[in-house]
Amino acid sequence: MPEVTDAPTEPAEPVTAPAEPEPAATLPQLIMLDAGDAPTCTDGVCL
Amino acid sequence: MSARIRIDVWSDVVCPWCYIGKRRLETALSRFEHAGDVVVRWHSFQLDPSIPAGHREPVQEMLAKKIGAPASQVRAMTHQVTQLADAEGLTYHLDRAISVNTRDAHRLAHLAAEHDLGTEMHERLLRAHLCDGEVVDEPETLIRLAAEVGVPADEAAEVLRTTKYSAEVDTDIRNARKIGINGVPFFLLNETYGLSGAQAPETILSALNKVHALAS
Repeated sequence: MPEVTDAPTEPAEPVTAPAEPEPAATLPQLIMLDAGDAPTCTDGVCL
Repeated sequence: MSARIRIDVWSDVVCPWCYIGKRRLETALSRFEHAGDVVVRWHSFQLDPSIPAGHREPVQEMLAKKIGAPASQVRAMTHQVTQLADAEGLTYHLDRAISVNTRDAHRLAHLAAEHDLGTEMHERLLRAHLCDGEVVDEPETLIRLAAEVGVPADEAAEVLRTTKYSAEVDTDIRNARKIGINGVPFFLLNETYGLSGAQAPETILSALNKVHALAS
């Protein structure tokens, strides 16, 4: 008598990753050219 | 032959320092000997992507809640940035500005960029929000602003009816995060050299000269 298993009898649907937007070009190793003292808006606050 | 300089700018259309930074960049470029070799590209950044779509609130009330300060204190603080904007020839009316989710505005900016009108659209959106008290998530307003800079109104309407350019907005924001950008404006020169914030024109000009010398 054949062994009973719960393995699927049909091949599973191929799994594809959700569509991603176009990947960005290689991102840079950043070299900052300022003293870090200029005002910015951060987290919705710009004061 | 002169080297090309690419400037990628991350900015939100409701960001007071971004408009000031834009003017300062323009001032720097007007003094830069090789300005004709510079290409500027604007990228999306949302200061507060958690604002629900359609939610509108006066900016000063929103700020008062966010920083836990009385409205009078927020008015005094916004007065300072208003004065600095004035020095750049910009007339801010932050008392009339309405806080909204800027995602749709950014999607339209990407459409405008496809028409080579990215800079013009970004400028128009900044002015609409910061100077004119326009509500920059209102479809009719956005379509009108787009048309004013030359983007076909039917294409703008189509973008707002759909989710077009959402992926582009997400990619810009994701790239900002990967680079380590926490605040805007942020200027990236030739994909390597960073300037954070509304830098003085002299600082931007100095960076442009340095990057040009390195690229030549």
